[in-house]
Amino acid sequence: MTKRRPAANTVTLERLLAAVPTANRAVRAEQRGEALVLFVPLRERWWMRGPASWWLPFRKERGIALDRLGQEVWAACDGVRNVEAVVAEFSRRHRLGFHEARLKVMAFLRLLAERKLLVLIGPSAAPEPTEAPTGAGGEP
Amino acid sequence: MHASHLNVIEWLGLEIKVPGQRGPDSAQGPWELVRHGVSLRKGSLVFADRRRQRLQVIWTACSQRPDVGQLLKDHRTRQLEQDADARFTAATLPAGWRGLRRQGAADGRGLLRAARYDNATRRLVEVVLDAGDDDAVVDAVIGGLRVTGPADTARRVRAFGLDVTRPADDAGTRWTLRSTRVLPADAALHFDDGQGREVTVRRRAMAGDWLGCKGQTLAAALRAYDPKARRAFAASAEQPHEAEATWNVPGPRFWRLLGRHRVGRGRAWHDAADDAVYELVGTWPARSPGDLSPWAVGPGGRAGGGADHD
Repeated sequence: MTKRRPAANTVTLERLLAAVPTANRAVRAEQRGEALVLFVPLRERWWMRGPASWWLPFRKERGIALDRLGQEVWAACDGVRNVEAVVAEFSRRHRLGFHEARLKVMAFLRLLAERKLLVLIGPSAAPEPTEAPTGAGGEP
Repeated sequence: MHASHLNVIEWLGLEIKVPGQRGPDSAQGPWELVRHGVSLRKGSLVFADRRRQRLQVIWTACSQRPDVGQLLKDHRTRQLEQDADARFTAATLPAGWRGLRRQGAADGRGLLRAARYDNATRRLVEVVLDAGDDDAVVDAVIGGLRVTGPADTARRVRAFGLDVTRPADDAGTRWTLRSTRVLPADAALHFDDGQGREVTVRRRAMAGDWLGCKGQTLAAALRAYDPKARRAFAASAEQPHEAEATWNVPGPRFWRLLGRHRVGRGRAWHDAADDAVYELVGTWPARSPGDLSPWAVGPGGRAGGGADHD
């Protein structure tokens, strides 16, 4: 038997559309051919310091390559436009319905948030773009 | 509301007009089809604007005329059980319709519930419309809702960016919409004729983005329908905007000897103006081949996408 999620955890569509996707300022972008690679710093664990690091080359950051559509959405996440504006622009550009575009864009934003590349700032939070703590995930 | 501002949807013998442009009130249109049913007996279509559900159209096959007034009274009683403060007024609607407008709903919006029975097709059509106090929208939606024919004989489907007209019925053959697969930017309608013939009509949006990618051609799009049929697959010389293919559907070898194997035929074309690829694919028994030429497929019925299927 499955338990229903408590109502407090649910985000209404209205709040979701009003949220502002804000890029993590710690992310470094690098153009490689047609792909844009985003590098997000990894949290340094205690065992990554000291003698172990003399022998094992631990990664300091993780790269995620974006295709053309991904770059388009990433560029739109400027910390000013809300999700609704990003989706509306995507739907207009690709001649999609709003909800079609919403499903595509939200899936992509969720992926970026899971990889710590951006956070969604809800309308009740500070509207100004803020630096997301390195290694911290967003609340999609 | 001007007719040019409306999108027209045709589905199982129902013609529905919904706002197709954003009005001065940002909550208005375009309304998109976000949930749909394919049952001939009972089902519904749900439309939503950007923020919330605006319209639900429910159809129910009724062999005998129901008491529409009593249905509305029952609805009012149920609503009052949930919210004793709710107020209802009889709505003034186009001929044939009877409806109740609920004022003071929990979220402050007016909600209209209307119903009519169509004698010719023996269907009860109910509408739940959230248009606030905008009578122009109410008139456009309720006045524009038509029953064009019985659900099982309806030839035209307009939804999800597709406008499909199936062949006319002939002796023992009647094409019926059996199922759908609707994903964002990718909608497919599956028809069958009850004689083992099946036809799929598909629209893939954002064609410009994937068509130029490595290995993504129109012939490859058709090949995806039957990847195992690669040996028997024969695509005609691909034109820049069109491809055709025929293939044998794989199966046991003795089926082929008995003449029971199936064959496939498909056509795909790129509509640059719509930035979409349309695919028309049929499979049928080799001994009773079908024909795709009577099928008419084009862009249309833009209200829809990313929808749920009941």
